[in-house]
Amino acid sequence: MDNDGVLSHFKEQLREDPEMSAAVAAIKTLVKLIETSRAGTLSELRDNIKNATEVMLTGEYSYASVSSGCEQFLRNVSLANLDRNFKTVMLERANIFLKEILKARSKTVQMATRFIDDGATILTHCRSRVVMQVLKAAAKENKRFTVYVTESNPDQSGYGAQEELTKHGIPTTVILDAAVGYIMERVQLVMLGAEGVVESGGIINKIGTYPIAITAKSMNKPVYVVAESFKFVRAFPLNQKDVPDHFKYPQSTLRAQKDLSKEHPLVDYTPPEYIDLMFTDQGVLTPSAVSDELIKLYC
Amino acid sequence: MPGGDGDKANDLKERISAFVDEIKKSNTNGSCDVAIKTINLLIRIISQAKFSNARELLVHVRVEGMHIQAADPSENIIGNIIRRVLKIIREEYRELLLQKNEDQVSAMERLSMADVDEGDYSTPFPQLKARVIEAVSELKIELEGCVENIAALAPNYVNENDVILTIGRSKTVEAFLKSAAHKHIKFRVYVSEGAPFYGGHEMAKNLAQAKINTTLITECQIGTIMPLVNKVIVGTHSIMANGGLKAVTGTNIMAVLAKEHNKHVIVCSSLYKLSPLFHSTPQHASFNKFSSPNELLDYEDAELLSKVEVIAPIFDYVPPDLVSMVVTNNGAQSVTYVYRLVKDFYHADDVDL
Repeated sequence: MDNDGVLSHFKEQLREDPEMSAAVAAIKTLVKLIETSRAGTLSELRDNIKNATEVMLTGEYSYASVSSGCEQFLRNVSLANLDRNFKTVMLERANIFLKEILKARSKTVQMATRFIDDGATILTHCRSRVVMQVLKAAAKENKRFTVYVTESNPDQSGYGAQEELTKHGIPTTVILDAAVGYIMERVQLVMLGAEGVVESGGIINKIGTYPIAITAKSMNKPVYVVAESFKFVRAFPLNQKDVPDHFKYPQSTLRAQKDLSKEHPLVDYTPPEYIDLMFTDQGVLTPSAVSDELIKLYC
Repeated sequence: MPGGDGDKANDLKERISAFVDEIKKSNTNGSCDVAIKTINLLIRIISQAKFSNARELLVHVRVEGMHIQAADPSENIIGNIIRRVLKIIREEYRELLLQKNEDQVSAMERLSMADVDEGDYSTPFPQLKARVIEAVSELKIELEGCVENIAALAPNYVNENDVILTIGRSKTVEAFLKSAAHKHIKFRVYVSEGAPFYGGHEMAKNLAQAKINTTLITECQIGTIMPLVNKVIVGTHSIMANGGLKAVTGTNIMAVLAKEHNKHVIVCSSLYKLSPLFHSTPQHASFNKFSSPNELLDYEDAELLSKVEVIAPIFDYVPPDLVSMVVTNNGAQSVTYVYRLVKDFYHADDVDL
């Protein structure tokens, strides 16, 4: 597969199944790459995988999750005795990894649904696929609850979330991004998705997540984050400035070399002290447990 | 001898139902007693169990365990012990499997498979039963020494001229304070009485008998006393997986006030009290337990009952950010480290019994 082939295969995966996480599509593409690869040496194949990852990162999808998913993939497939017929061994490991990744979301959802009570009022931000699944799963268990979702500018994905939840019989109201403080007193818990979970246990997510978490904390409402473990990123930002530019701005903006101080960032960093619990396929974690799990995933 | 087996099985059944009765009537003598009785029953259950592989044993222990737990779903300690025994079975099985694999494969292959896959626990090992019983008995010995081990740590945390506040009666805290006094440390203790059960009365009496300078106060006085105190030491019924406490009512008020006055809250708790469960919301189904309202409203006032709702919850939930430190039989731990202990003690598949 050449660069164009990689990018089109990646985008096609996401078109076919809009519910698929970008990281999963990227990993599927990498598996396909190994299958069709004609690389003669191990290092050539590794280079091919790295190159394909770079190509997919230009595709305007969540940078954090695609890069963490691909990095974990590469570490996992090359962590073996690869003396002879390295391609078969790697392909086998790649498929095992993919199978685990595909199971991750349902495991995560199962962990999180338990924390939604009958009669709860939940605030969520943006349209996180995994949070949508949690809410739908809870509704399927005949729990009755109300959802407030922020409009979440600039892409206004909150309306999409409302439409989807309403279709599943969950009473949902869209609120202004600026109305988070107004609504917080009525809310029982805040449930957020994440594009990336960093080593400190904090999250990188759609812009506007940070103020929601701060407001919730100051009103003593629990903040729960739902994220599969392939979103665990090796980064340790201490503030917003530390978050790398390619996480914060669209790739097209970066390529055009615009003045970034005039651009709107797409994500913000929420420090761990604002997060109560994290639901992942590795179990229910406190933010301080994240670094432990991260080391295991990247060892 | 089929007859002998039948007798044994009946004997076990009787023992289980006697224990279930005891739990239902809350006739137990503290959480350590519950833990040791549960583990004794489990040792009997395992030694009488007939199984051909570890999976059958796991299912058997789980089924019998759930039967005991059903007596009081809010009694986390029973569940904790059951889960720890399940984990022991899994670990022993894993070790046996590793040994077997090591015999079979060459050193070369072993390098590439550092980890074994337990699969469905179906490989039969005749020595499994004996090994599990031995490991569970070790756990039992550990449980029996818990309170002593915690008490031995007291001189590190109680200093000369300390003013300590505690609530209700916790055997662990009592032993802890007595051990400090035994080391000739002079300190003063305020005991909040722990209404409506008044465990604090007995606690104050016992401490005073050990020649500790003790003052009994009511819960309403906690706010007044807090500025005079320099640390709060409490016991707990159990510790949830996020580090929050399920402790006797009044502990939450005390912890909130301690935070307000910047006093440390030290929790004395044996490790078997650590639960892998979460307390998601105050309404959480089997979290709390309610006692008879007659402690709060006399029967003589029966005519009031139709007009007044009286609730007497037994437990408080104390959020983890109000607790400074947990002193366990393995030494002191920070609350943020609790998740790690939970991971070490329990297998993820056993959390839902």
